[in-house]
Amino acid sequence: MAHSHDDHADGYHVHAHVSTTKFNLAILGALLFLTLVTVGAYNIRLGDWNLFVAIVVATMKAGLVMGFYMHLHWEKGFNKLFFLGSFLFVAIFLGYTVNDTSHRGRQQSLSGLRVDPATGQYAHGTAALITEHGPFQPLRPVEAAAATPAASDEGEVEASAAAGADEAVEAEAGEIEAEGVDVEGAEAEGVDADVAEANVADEADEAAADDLPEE
Amino acid sequence: MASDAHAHHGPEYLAHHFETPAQQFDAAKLGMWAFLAQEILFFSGLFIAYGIFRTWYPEAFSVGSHLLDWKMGGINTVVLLVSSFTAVMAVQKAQLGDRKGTSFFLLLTIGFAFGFMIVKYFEYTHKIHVGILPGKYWGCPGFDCGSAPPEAFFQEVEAAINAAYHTAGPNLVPYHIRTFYGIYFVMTGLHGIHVLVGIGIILWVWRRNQRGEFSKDFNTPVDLVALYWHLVDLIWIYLFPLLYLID
Repeated sequence: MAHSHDDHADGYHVHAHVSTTKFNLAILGALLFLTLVTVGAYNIRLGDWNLFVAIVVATMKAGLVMGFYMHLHWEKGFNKLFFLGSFLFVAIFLGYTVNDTSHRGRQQSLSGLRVDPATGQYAHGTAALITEHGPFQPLRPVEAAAATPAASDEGEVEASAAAGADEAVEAEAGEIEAEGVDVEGAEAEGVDADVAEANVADEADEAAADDLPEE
Repeated sequence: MASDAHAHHGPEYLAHHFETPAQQFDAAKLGMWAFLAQEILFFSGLFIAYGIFRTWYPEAFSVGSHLLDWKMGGINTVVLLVSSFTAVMAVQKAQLGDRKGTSFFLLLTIGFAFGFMIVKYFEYTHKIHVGILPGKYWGCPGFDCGSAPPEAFFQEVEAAINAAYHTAGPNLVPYHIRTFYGIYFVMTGLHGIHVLVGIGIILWVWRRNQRGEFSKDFNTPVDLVALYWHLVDLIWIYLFPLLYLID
């Protein structure tokens, strides 16, 4: 900070930071070395740690490029905030989106409820959790859904493997509509609406199974 | 534009709506950083798509990545890193008022940019020829779904399945490998467009430098074009491991 203050002390002429050739070469050396590290990490097969190491090393490289090649290190505080702030918003964007999409779980064939394949529990944000905390029951009772083993999905996944991705997308859209109707229908008509809902959900499930993560 | 409007104060390069060269420089810099922040957000949508689909279909990403040649991607990484060095050297030469040096390093940067695109060209043409293509064109050599893929397609896919960490099972091609290739072509394609645009802008700045528009006191365009080029490098620094180096 003190540095940039001095730079603009006379206020008339531009006094930007000038890096020496030696310094720029040293940064290039570090960047090439880190590239070797990433490639090396890939070739020793880290498995599940692969993504973590790749991101950490890439971020170190990005830091070198931004800090010293883009002269961000000697840049005005406001410009630093402006540019680095964009990464904060990317992090929020990524964090919220992936937290949602990776916990939607998989739809059970009979209940139409989404189950988190990692835990076997109802996925966060689904109607099952709402029903546990109040009288509102747009879907069939939790006990009936719990009696349906999640493993029964296996056969259907294979059966629907031939279904195209387009069909799956359409079916998912249909399922969303069906749920919207049910909220009113189940309250007004009770059992009949429940059955209709289960059928719609089954169809949607078969087509959509192809589109959901397998574990 | 009214040359008499700014003839009465300051040097030739100072636009009449700025008080001092320093003010003009700071305004240009802030504008550039705003543009670069926008570029980060522009690309972020694709990175988020990558994140979603990789968490959903890890096996498609594993097998899909093993169909890419990491050596080609690695060569391009080195090419771009060196071009970032030449870009920053062009800035240094411009700051020191060395016109010849600036032109030399700008041309060198353009040369590396072309080198990058040539490697990309070989990668793309091979993928298209064999039928490693996105969406409904998966397994369609040359986008022609009427003809069967060549033997090389099956050999490469089989080798990728055997090498991949996450697989759907032996001899099973993950269905969403076509999604991975959708992401691969859009991300590298958009990045490639940025490289091509960069070649054009650096060429333009080189012309202006040759005409003698820049000096020790005024070299902002060289500074800004280098910032753009570093951003292109920055994006690739993430694309390389995320696409080519999935275990």
